[in-house]
Amino acid sequence: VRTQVARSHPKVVALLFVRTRASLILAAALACDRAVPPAGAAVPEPEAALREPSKLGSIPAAAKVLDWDIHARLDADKHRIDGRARMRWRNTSATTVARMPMHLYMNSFRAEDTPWMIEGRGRHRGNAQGDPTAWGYVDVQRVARRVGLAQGSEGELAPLRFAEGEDPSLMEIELDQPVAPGESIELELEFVTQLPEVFARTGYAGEFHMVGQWYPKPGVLHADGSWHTHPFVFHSEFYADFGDYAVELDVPASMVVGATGIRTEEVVEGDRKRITYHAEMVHDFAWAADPRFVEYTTSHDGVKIRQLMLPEHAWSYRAHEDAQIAALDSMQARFGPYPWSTITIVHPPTGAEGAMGMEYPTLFTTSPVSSIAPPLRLLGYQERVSGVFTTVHEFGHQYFQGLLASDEFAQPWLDEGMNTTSNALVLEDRDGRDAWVMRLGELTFHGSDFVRLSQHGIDTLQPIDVSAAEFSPTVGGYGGIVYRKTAALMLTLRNLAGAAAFDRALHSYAEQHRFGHPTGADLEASLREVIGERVPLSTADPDDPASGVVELDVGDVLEQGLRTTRVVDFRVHAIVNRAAVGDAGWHRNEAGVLVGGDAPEPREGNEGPREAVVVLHRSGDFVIPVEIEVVFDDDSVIRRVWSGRKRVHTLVFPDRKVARVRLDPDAKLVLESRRLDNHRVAHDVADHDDGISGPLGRTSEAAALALTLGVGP
Amino acid sequence: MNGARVVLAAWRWLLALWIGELAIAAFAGTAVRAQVAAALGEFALPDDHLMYAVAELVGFHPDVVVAIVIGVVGSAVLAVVVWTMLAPLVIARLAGGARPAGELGAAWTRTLGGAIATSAWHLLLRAGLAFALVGSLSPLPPMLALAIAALATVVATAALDISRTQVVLHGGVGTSWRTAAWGYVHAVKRPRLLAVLAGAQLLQWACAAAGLALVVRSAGAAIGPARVLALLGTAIGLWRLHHVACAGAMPAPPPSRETDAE
Repeated sequence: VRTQVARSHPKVVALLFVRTRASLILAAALACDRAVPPAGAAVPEPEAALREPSKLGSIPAAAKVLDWDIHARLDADKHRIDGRARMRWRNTSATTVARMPMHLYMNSFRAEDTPWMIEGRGRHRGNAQGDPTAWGYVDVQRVARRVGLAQGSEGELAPLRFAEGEDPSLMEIELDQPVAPGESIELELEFVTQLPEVFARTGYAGEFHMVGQWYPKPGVLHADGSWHTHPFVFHSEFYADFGDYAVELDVPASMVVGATGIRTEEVVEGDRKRITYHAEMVHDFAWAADPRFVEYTTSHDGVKIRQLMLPEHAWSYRAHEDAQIAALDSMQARFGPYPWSTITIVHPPTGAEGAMGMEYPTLFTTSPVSSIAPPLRLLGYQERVSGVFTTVHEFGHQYFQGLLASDEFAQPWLDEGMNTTSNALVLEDRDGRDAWVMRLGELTFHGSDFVRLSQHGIDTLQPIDVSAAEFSPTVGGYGGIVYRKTAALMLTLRNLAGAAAFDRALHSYAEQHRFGHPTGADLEASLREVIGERVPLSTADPDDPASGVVELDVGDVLEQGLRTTRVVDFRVHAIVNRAAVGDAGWHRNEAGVLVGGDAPEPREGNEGPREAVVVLHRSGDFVIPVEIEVVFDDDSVIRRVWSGRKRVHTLVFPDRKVARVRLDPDAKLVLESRRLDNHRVAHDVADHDDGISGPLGRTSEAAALALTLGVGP
Repeated sequence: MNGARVVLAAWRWLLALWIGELAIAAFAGTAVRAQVAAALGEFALPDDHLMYAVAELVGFHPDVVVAIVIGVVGSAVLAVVVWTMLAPLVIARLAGGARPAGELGAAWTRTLGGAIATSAWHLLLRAGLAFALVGSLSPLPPMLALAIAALATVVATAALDISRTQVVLHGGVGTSWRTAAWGYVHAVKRPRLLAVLAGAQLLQWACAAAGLALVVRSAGAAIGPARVLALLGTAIGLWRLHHVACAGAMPAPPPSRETDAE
């Protein structure tokens, strides 16, 4: 029959062939694009949770405070965890302790009237609580102290009294015996954790479980004997002590699990399996489980990089891997070696967006790489940050919070802001200095532009150095101020003081406070000590020697940037090219006699002696030096530095004509967001090109032409 | 005579239409250029970080966005109006070859009202089609939805071409909605004609998109090549119209119930 058809209808056969071939090509193309890439040989699990001593750096003796043995059983249908924890805590303060406040973070999702939910109203970073009955909580059922511990003896359990605070995210344990400085105590806790449907970092979405902040955690006891325990409010994150973890997870056998630390054992029993993890010198333990996860592993500089993702996201695993490696290389060079032997990247599936972009020790969650729609690609749109920037950012937290474990409640800028600063440096190391991160044809958007966007509107309401509780989601501004304005301040300081000195200062800070709880004062001290209190930015102005050397006052810049809401803003107020003043009229001679009396010489056009006057205005309250570039009509260029101390600064150039003036020509002041008035062209310059009206006009013309063609003949 | 030759023979018409399109588009460009220049005054943008600078410009001067939208959309609306007026004249010229101006003018005057009416009916039908599509396409993947929307637009354009040609060349009743609706039926019932018209339409869009992409990618520098592409797109459009004109009259629509009752 086929032969008959072929003979009688050759065109039909040819068409069928073409269609079939086209279908195959199309199918192959689609398959190539979205097929799950092969995982390659799995990198074996490291034998130790920490890297070799040369990569570890020193661990302060006082850093290790808290060791854990945890057993947790996940009921994947009920999204519930039955947990039992044994906790050994050491009093490293100089004070005897009789109580132990604990964090019960999960209780913030217990009801709509918890402080967290009152602020968040069931929403977090654009993700809404789905099922309104899917509350999350942690119910501590028993707390006991283990007494009579001896060699080979488990001792006995003495029940302790405990009670939740008014805010259910806090709990306090009454210790039946005070713990003296240097002594240890061993507590046992039994708890049930009900995961919420995920919309704010932790919880479940279908079969996916992101289990973070799920067990009771004590506060941090400072050297002066004060407990630092914070209610879990909307913008608050976490603060805890370092220690070792041995965790046994009992999960359905089908689950693929990623967790903090290294996997030491996995035993399957029927439809369940028990996986044991070991982590050292971390201050939290988180894990994720999903039966659909596929796994990609690689190793870089001795660190095992493990990605867990659903097959539909697997096409982008290489982009995340490259970003992870770039971040690892950059941050190790800048802030010292990464001390742990593993890093696990969890890709939450669609529907679990609330879990995306969160950091835990040796594990973080990321977000998907966006695919660019063909029409945008046609217009020349490119970007190299979606998804991979989340990977860079969340890995950065392994340092800024994982290793430099600042109090995220008291000074959130120390982890989020300094981490955003480090992200900009990772991009610089990867792509070059201030390389573009997004572009549309010739229009480019840079890493520093993201940071610069921090100074508008609500982002100027609060200073940087305030606690998380000072920010309200109703008002906004947390991201702009804590993340980006901090980075803008640091990058401005780096640009003015010099990259080498600034980088040395951050390296010194990171080395000095590894496995510690540094404060803002520690960071400021490192910056001032290494960069110096004052950095000379220019020699004296030759036209105005009395003005002295312009210096950058590092402490003053940090003070204004961190603890005020002052805004950096400069403006080229005026350029005046005019006739110079002559010497017509009456003047006294050396003998004191009035002589002269001539009339000024008549001048037409540009004849006669002339001068140029440039007037600069510091519109913002933030006092900071700024560079000035003056371009004359003969294309010669000079640069000066203005201290910015006065509101107005005037420059006079005898016998010159100024064509244009640029303030901050190298865009060093990342703190300055309003730059449209930084570049002024003299009104009497014939070829005034503002640099944008032409391109925008022609682009609008092209858009109109395209539409006209679309609706025309 | 094939379509390309007809279009080339009518080169004065082609050039006139192209210049008209350039003039309409230049209106948008000039308005935007003037608005941006006024917003900036004596200030100028930096040499780099241009996307941030543009974002800052439109952030502080939203009137620039208004100028862009009014300029571009206004140009498109003006083009629709002008082309609706000129379409009968161009169709008559392409179908009948070179004719005395008076004769063409008389044909234009005679069919202009009907052509405008059928265009208006098509506008209504397109609105209905768009309304139906918006609801049904929203759950689909974006690229699939875009492809279906493009296909619907191609069919609608072919139907409009057929209806206009019917009115101008074959005495179709432009004021009747059935002439417009029958354009759709006729387009779908003649897949080969539809395929040719769709191909030509897609080529026109490709010229438009390529021109826009060149200009956007070059930050406005490549406006010259975009104008040349517009000429090519206009020529393809005339070829498309000639093809419809040569396709002959469509069968008359079935009689309405009112007609039956009479």
